[in-house]
Amino acid sequence: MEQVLLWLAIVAPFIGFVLILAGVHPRWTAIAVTFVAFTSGAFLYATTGGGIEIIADAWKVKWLELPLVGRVDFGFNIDGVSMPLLLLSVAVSFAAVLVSSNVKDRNAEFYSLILLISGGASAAFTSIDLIGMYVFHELALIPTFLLISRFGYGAGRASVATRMAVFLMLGSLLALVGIVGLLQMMPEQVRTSNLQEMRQFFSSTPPVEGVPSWVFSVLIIGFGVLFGLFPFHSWAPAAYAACPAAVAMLHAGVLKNFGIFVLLVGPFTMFPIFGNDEFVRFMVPILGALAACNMLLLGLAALRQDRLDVTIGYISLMHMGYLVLGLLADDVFTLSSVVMLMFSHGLATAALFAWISYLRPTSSTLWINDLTGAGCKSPELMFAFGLAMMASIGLPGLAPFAGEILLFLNAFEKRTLLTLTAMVGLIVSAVILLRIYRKVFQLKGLATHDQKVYSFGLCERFTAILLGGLLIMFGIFPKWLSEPAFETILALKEQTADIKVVRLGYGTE
Amino acid sequence: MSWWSVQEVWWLSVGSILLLAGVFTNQKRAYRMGKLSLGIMWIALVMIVFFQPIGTAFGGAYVSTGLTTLLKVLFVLSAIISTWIAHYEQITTNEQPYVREAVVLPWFILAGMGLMASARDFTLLFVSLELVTVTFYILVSLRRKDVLSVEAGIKYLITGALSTGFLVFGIALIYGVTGSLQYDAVEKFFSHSTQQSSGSTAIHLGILLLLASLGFKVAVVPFHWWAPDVYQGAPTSVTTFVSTGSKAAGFSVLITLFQFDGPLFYYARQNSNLLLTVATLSILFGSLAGLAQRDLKRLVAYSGINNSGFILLALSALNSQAAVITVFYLYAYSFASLLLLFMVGYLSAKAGKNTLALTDISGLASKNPALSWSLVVALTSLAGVPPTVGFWGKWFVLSSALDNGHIWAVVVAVIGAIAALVYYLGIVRAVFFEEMSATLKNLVLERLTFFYRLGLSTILVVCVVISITPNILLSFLNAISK
Repeated sequence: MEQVLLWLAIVAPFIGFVLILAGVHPRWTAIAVTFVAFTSGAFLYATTGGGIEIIADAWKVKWLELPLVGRVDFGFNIDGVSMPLLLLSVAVSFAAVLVSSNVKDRNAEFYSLILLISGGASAAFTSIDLIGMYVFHELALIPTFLLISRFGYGAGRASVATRMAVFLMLGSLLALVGIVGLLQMMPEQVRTSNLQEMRQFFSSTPPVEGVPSWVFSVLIIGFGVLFGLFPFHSWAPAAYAACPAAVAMLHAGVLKNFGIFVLLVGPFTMFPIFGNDEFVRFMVPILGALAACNMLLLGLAALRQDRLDVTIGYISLMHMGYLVLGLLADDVFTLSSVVMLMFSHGLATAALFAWISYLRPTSSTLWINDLTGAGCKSPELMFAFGLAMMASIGLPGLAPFAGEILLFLNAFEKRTLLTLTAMVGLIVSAVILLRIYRKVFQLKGLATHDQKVYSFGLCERFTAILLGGLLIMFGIFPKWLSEPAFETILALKEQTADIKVVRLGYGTE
Repeated sequence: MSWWSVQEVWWLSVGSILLLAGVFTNQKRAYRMGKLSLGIMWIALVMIVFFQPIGTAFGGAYVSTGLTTLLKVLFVLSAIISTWIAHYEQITTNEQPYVREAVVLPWFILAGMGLMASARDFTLLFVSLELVTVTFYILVSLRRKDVLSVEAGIKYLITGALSTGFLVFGIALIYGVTGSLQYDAVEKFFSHSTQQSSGSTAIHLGILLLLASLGFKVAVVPFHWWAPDVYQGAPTSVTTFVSTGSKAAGFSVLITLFQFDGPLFYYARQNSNLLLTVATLSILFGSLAGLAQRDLKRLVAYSGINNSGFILLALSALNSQAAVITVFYLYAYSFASLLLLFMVGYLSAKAGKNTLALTDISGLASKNPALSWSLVVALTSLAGVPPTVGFWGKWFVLSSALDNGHIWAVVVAVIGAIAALVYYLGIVRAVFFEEMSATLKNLVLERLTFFYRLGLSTILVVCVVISITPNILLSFLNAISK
């Protein structure tokens, strides 16, 4: 039963893709399949308690096998880490399709590509195989390029799209090299990228020489490009600004978390790397500094921006700094808070991108100064944006607060300086968002232009209820997120605790 | 194996019969020969897939194994697509004075390619390689009134003649040292002798010259200079045949030479840096030099140089899986390239031009979305974006290079893949984002012919199916290589 729901949630968007290519009405198909995916995902979440129990004999099949390269399996399963992310993916996909009512021409192309991205995201989070995760995540690359070029905003969007695609391909190729490095730590006969089998292998036969340092560095850099770690983030703000709303929601809300997700279920929980002195002495300070840059430098950059879409893009990058802090603190609680924050900030960011697109009817770019007082025309938009904004800031009662409090309380002991930096970053993001809210939504009567705002129809109200409702629900009952994440990560850590200290290969070899 | 089960004999006979028939055919009815030739090629494909026996012939000079059969399937497929494109280019219609040449010569080339793949003797290698190359000189310059075509032919002739000189000299030196013209003799020489044995300079020189000649065939750096001009000037059907068939034929010889326990296996083991350098330089050059190109067929040439570098990188791994990975990548590249050129050929033929620039195809997406999406599939497959078939090939190549510890080669391969992505995306950008060009405005593209749609969708479906389940091809290759 759970298996059917899981497959339905993942496969529905792909079926929608085929149906749209076959000529069925694009918007209705997209709404229908993302609705099916969302309800299956939500039902699955409820019945499995957020993924506490994984599906026992989930269907899987061998995808390909080549003796030197390894065996790749195809199949999907859920646990406490991937289930919230699957729910995030299906919820944001549904919302993204609902808010795209302004796309009128060539909407077959638009909706088919959106469905590819959304199906790929759901499949990436629940895949049982590392290479499978990688392939499904990369499925989004070319559709994003095409969507930005065809349906995006701004005259320079084609070059922005090319730059984004090339940068993301670089990051993903580096990540692939890192994954190959991980695979090659296993002997040829048992080489597989099936995550569970990898974990079993590494816990039963720990690598004698340790994890090669280049593997770790390349994985961090590669996935760092994908989630926007400090020096590798430059593709993101301009790309999010040029995207149509649905793409920005899917990318900044869902796909961005993929980098952190793989690092979490991969190297950070497969090997007890924090038991290794050299790692703690070299990598942790560097990663900590980069995360601090994410939180502070990008926050300050966001403060200076004149464009609303770029500002929200920078804010979404800031949140990645918190996630890296959670990874670095290496505590079961902080790692569960990483999962909670991925889910909740993903929802909040998606909501923010959805609502700012409603301020866009006459101008293609969102200059904050031009938007003075514009939001006052639509009280619904004001409320919806306000809710998303408060969630982003970390207001208690909304979903991200619980994750943040768990993170800060538990990380304070181990990574004091970084936690303090994170709190300062929190204040900076509050300042940025509250200033924007005041300028755009509260200064009625100071409007310099007569800005038109899209009115809220049925779809928009539904999206507001969906996203806002999820934020409030998981804000009041954060246990629904934290418990499954905690159980899963505890189980993963217990599996790695049997490994004796694994050398990371830095130092004198 | 008796002589009549050697497929190349039949291909040569078909070519010869068509040649004789052409003499007695009226110019007006010569176009029928084109359709007949295409039909016989389909029969040849079926014969090769289902009725190719395994064995040796001609005293051991010719060998037929599962691997050579798989490669010959690729040759026949590229010949079929090339002849198909020639129909659209109206090379094989009755208005052209060189119908008969265009119909007959591909059969000789096909036979030459098959013999190259199956050769285990340097004489047979030389004769078949020359058969292929010299016949291509004629086909490339087929459009005698077109300056670019004749120029391409002359350039191909001069560089090809140089490479023939290298080949002959190399074979002569190898013969001088080993005393025999069989591949086995070279293998025995290297496995039984030490580095300091007599004549070692001569045989090293001989092998280097032999590899230079084969490098010219597959267009790797520094033997690639002929490729962009020849690909651009030749009629698109010939470009297709050269870029997929001739390249595959050159690689089939290289696979035979470098495979596990093959003739040059131990030599390559001792001199692995040579192959790696050539491979990495090709990857870099193909990607960086292609960035400046605005002509589609020249871009195909640089993409071919780039991908030849990847295939050579796969070969240079020199382990048990090298042959499988090389053939898989060759198939991936060939299918993507065939798909791309099938569209470029059709469009350029319809537009009445020999070649299309980026400015000519801009705005295709508004005119015909199906063609544009097929272009996206072909280009992303060449770029190696997951989950296309090109990605699986690149992953295998990177894995096998890392397994051997060739870190720098992997770094260069990653840089090359990224740089190449820029120009592939440039084509996608032109098709989807730019304003419709004047060339396209005058074309009627809304209704493609039934056979064209059939051919395009078949290649597209094959590409997509292998992308989704690469195991179809892989398990086959694994079984054959055992």
